[in-house]
Amino acid sequence: MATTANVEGLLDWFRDPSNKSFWNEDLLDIRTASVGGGAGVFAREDIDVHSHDHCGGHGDDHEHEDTPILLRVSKEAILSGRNSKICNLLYEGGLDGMQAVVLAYLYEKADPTSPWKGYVDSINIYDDNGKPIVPPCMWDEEAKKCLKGTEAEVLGVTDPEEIERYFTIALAFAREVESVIPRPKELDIVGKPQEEVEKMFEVYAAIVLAVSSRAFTIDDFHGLALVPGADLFNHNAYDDEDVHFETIADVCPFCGKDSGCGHSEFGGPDSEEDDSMTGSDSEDEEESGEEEENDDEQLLEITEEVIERFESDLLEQNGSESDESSDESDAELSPVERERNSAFSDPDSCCDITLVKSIKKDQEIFNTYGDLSNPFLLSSYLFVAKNNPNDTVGLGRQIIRFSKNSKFAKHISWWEKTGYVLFKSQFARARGLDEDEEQQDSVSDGWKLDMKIAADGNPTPATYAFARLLSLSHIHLKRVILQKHKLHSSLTIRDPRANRLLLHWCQQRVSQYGEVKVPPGYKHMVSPLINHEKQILAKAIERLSR
Amino acid sequence: MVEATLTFCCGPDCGKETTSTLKCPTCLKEGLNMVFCDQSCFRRNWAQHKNIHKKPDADSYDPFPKFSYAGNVKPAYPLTPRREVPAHIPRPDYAQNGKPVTEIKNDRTGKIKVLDEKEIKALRVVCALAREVIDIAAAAVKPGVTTDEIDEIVHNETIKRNAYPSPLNYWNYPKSVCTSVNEVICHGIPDKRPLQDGDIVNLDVTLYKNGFHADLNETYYVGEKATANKDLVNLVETTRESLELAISSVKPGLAIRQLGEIIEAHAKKNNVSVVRSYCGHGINTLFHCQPDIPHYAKNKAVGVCKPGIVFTIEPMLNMGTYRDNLWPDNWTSTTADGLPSAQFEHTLLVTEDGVEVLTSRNKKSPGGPVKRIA
Repeated sequence: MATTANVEGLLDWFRDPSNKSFWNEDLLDIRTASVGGGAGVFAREDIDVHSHDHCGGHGDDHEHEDTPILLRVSKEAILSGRNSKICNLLYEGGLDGMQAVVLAYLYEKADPTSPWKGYVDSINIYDDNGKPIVPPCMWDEEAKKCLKGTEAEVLGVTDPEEIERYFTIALAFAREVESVIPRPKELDIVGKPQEEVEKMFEVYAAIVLAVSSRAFTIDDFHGLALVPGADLFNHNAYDDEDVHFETIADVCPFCGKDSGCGHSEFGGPDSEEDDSMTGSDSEDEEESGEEEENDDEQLLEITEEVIERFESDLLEQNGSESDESSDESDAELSPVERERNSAFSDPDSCCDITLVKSIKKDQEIFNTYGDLSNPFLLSSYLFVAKNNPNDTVGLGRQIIRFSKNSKFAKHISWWEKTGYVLFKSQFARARGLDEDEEQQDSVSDGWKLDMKIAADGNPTPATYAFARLLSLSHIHLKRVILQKHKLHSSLTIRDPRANRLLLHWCQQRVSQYGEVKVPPGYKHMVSPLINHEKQILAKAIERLSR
Repeated sequence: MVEATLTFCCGPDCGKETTSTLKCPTCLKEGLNMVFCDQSCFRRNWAQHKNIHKKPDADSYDPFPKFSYAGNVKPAYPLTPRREVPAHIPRPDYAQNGKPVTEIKNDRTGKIKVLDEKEIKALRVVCALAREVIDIAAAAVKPGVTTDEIDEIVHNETIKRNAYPSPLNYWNYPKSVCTSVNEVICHGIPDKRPLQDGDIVNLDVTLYKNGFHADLNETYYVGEKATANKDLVNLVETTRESLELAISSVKPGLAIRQLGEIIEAHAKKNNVSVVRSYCGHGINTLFHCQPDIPHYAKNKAVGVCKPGIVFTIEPMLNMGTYRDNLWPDNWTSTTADGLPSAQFEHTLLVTEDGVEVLTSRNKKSPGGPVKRIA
């Protein structure tokens, strides 16, 4: 797990009003986490949630005043590609997403005057022995071997290809902008011997892990960003989080404003419409609107009476405008304090960590990073959750092997082309689910990844449907195809042949695991992952054999 | 058959061609032919339009008598009618209706334009012209001259050079130059107020020609009293120096946010404060664009200097509080305590190894530094 160093420096960063951030020091304490040995956030005292309205202040007219804010960071103070000093260079390089955040981090880290210094220095990438903490794709072969046959291996968690590509792009960027801004030491490979470059690659991988494990998806403008403080809350995998990360995500992708920006009226920077046309078009609309309102007083001449009426309208308007003389109550505040307060008064321009349930003194406060399975947790955060309810065990490899039997060629080709997508959509409809969400992995042979046993030991509906399809004779297959509008009901019928097929695949799947001893430093990550997969398969085998 | 005469609607947010005969009766009485395309246009623009109307029995008047001004400077209306720009002079997109659409579209996109050789050449030309214009206007600065008379000079000298005065109708700004006197921080609208011995006045000139804007401003002492005022000289000279210090730090690789550190440090050293509400800006084919250049320390402005980018630095420093107030004209910004404010600005090009001041002074330029009074 990426760890946190220099906590005091981080707290100082929060105390500096120019950072427009608020860390609730009265309520929160950073201590060693209950699991894993990294840092975690703990309650200094009992904190109650009085309101049951959890929608938060963002976009709502009301804020739940009773529940204290644990953390508020202005979007101006998050570390995103857009906010970093190299913003214009990233734009020219066409870089965004994780790549942009990692580069923003590296170039800010290299700048001793960076406004994020206190925060950036709190991100630790080394273990107690001074070795970079790397993701599983960078583990040595011995350690990788023990993931053989696991979902982690199947899903490519041990494959370094992506991180290599990242490194290549980062180096190319550093070279490209070198004439403007020196390379950060982490990307300065010039004249270094091969083994040193390899070490640098390891450090780079550790940085990507640290950044990606901390980054949040903010909005359509910033994309991914580091949010100081928000990344200290550890993950609860059991749908039992104490806090939510809240921010307005639906903003203008060009300028980040949440409403009323010029891009919504005139379009993006490179939009092709004739500028003057766009401008006058919209004005025409406004005007015609007003004309309708004032239809009854279409004038051919402007008289003194008309002017008098305008004048009295104007007086009324000016009268109704509140006196905007500035509030003197905070006159003793420094300029930056005043600006921080004004940034905070608009929660829509901030990222918040808000409490969603009451918490007792000295308890660790958890967030959730999403419904993530252990292979994902392992690759992104370097920890796993015991008996993770989001775990599944895939049967893809078994199915690929089985598919080679030409007896099922017709079944499979129809499933691949039509059946899978159709079944998923009929299933989603039957369950009242969002079809789009359910169909995300329906492209090409993505269905094979979707053939799996869920954490409760049951095959997923599509997996069962596929097994049931294969157990049909050619005549039955034809019938099913002809009545494809009833696919959902015909493929969910209980069928011992389908069960036998699934059982066969599960048994094959069990034999996929290697019998390797897990090296000691990896046990806490690898063993729970493997054990849970095996448990899931055992449950499935037990049920299917009944 | 009588052919309708084609004219332009004088509504600043409209400016369209029209055959309308709807005229402002007050203007007619003053001998002005101000045509509005329709009554809703007239209604919409009335509040701004009436600023050119004279008041009987008064040469000039305060249009906002209920407003509590921070200092002694007050608007002296009526404004003179909008000055004409000959049709053959190419205009920026906002000239007609006030909306800088290309600017709006490019707002905050993260892109900082890099100019090529050809573009830089075109920009150099307009920057040199802008320097000529401000120098001519500055030579006219003396007690008794109204800021409107300076506007007339700037306007005429600009169009004489086949350039468009960029401020004119930008977001419906009514004049061709900004003239900011004493406690006015920036965006003062030229009017009937005569300059007085002891004033300082900032002239902020921008020209648009060959597709590029050139922007510069300087603060000038008015009369002997001003240069004899110790605190005033300290303010003006500190501002001038802070701009020079900031400029000398500019080179490829400099983080834009660093500029504010330099300016604020120098301001602090000399006991003056830095305005936070207004920034320097990128400038090229757009009047204002990325990057934003805050002049205060500890800002989080984005962007790093690289050869070919062009921006202004234009620190505004105040003798008293850094805080600003806006007049009801929605343009004029003054200090909250009524104490004086000074400003200097150049348009700058980042070069391979440093910076080129495109709007730099020459030997004949009026104004220039004055020794601090011990």
